[in-house]
Amino acid sequence: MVRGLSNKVVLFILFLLLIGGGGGYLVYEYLIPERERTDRELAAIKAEVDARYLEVAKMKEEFILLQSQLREFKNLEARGFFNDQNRSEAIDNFSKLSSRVGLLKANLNYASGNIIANQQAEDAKQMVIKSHGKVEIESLDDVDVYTLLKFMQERYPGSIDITNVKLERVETLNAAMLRQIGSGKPVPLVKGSFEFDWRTMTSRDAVAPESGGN
Amino acid sequence: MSTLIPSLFSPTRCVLLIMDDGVGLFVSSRRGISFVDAYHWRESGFEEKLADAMERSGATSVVILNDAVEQHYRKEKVPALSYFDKANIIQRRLNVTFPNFSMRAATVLMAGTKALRESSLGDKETVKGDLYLFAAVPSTDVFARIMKAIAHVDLQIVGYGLLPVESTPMVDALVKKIAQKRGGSGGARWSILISQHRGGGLRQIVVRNSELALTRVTPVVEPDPDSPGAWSADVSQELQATLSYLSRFGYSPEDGLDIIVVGDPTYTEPLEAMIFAPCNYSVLTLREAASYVGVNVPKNEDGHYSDILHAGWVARKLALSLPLASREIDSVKRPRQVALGIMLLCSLGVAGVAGVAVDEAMKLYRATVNIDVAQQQKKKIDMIYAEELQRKERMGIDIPLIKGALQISRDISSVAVDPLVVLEAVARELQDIRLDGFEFTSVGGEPAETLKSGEVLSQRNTQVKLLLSFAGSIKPKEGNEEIDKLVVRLNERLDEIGYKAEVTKVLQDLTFKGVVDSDVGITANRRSAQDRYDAEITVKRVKVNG
Repeated sequence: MVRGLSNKVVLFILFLLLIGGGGGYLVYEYLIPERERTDRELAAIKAEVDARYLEVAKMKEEFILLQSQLREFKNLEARGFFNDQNRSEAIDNFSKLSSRVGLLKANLNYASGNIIANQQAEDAKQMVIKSHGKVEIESLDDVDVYTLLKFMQERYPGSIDITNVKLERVETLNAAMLRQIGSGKPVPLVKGSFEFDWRTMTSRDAVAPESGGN
Repeated sequence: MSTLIPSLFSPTRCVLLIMDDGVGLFVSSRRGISFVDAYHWRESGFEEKLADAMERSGATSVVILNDAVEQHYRKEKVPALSYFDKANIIQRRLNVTFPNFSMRAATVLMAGTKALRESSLGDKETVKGDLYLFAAVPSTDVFARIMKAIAHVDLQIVGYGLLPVESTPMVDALVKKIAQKRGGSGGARWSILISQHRGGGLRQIVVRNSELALTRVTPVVEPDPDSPGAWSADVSQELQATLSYLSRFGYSPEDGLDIIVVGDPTYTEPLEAMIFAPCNYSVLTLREAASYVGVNVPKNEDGHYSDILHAGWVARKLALSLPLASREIDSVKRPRQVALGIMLLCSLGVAGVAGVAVDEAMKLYRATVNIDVAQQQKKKIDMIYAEELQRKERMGIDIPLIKGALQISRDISSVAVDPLVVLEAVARELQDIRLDGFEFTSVGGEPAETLKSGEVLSQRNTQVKLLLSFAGSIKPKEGNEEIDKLVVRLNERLDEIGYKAEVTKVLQDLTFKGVVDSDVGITANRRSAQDRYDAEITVKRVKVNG
């Protein structure tokens, strides 16, 4: 077959070439891709397991945390933080508070409400609503105004953030003024106003608030 | 298939000893050297028998060793040559020296070269260069028949060498060993190894300073146990002839001479009495000589013929000292070397592929096992996750709502400012000063809004303007002092809640910048009692915890 070489040698070389070539082809064409695919599959499953572990750990941690936060949340709920800022209810609530204080006059005005972009609220399928309110007040005593401010901050549904308070003495209490008051004609001694931002959370399905007042 | 395995891994090797009347086959293995058979040139089926014997020997390589009479040697001085020219010029000199012989070779003689150089140091006429030993043998028909036999078997050809040249180091080794045994230093410069080979020839190898000086192969009578003296007499005559040649090569008795005779003591011991030249005479049996040079010979080997000693010595060599080149050898040797190289490469390739395959298969197996484990883990964690979800669903807890609502509420509360705190503090410090009015403002960024990356919530600006008035009858200086005292009192109280008060408008500016319009007199005093002086104090929030 080849000068100087026996057929046995030539056939053996061909056999080695065949084994090497065939084996190499099988390894690189099938074995390595299969191993790589299996590695990818394993990595994917491991990643899923790790992610699920983290999720469970987070849930357990949250659960423990929530046990302590639940009471706080209930308080928040009781204070009316979850409120769609319905203007009718808003006026009723204000009316109740001002009547308890005994003001001569209080005028509440709400501007149109806005939705505040908040990711956490979105994650909870909620939205934060903010309405700017203004109250014009006439009173015999400035203490009544302070009382109303306190009531608004503590008892009005949602969160009340006072942004402006103006108060001025318009009359001085003297004998003539006392006689006038005694005759049944109340005369305001103090006039003022206060403005506030009213923030609440409500479901995304809630109707957008409208402008209004009395 | 063992013949395909390189001799590096299997040291079994054939030695073909070419003699004048035939060829002897020896096989060298780990166990030692053994004589297989001798084949006469005129024997029928010579090539087939020789090839068959080589194949059956299990050897992987073959060394051809020439022990025939016709060997030609010449020492030649070659000028100092550059590395690139040396091979061509040596080959040309060989062609010129032995034009009628196709198988030639040359090797540099180190001792000769050194001597040549030393001698030329003080003589500018002498050509500086190296001393070479040139050798050649004819390419005969019998050699072609041997090559034909080798072509029939798959043996690697190690080379074609000349027995005297290849055995010269063995003579040197024997001399040193004998000298060591005797307790001397082996200072003789000349050594002669005398041994009889199976072809009937007496081989004499004369070594000078570890290099071949002379070799002779002469026919002698066959050893006869009945008359051992006949062989000794014949050999002594040949030795005398050799010694007579030595004087031509510069031998003098002062140089020292070692004569080693290897053979059956029956024949070799009587020889000592027949040698009259001054020398160190040593008689060695074949087994002794073989043990001295580290060659194992079988126990049943005839103790007189020592060609097996030379064959065993040469078989152990990785490469021949003076391999003769010829087309006949190359035509068989080269393809086999290439085939061996290809086989080695292919074997390495197959081994590599097998290694990669095993490695990949192991990785695949491990990955498969790990996938099973990971899937079991995933099942378990999925179950735990589902249980957690169910637990929360049962409790009716909306986690994002709770967390979000609380966080938003905290964000708003942390920013919102209660005006009553600061107003109460102000009221406590007013004393009898009349406050006509105030304005509280607290504006800033939207706390409930999620800020974009890098944005910071703008700080709230919170302040209270206090409007104060004093009766017109009061002296402005005193009123200013009252205002200052009020500010001091306010700051003492406001500091702890994070506010700071300062006068922004005094009753009347009494410095040079102030504008003064003053009436005096009785009526004027009455009017000023009804007027009022206005002052203004601003209370600013300076700490966020206020």
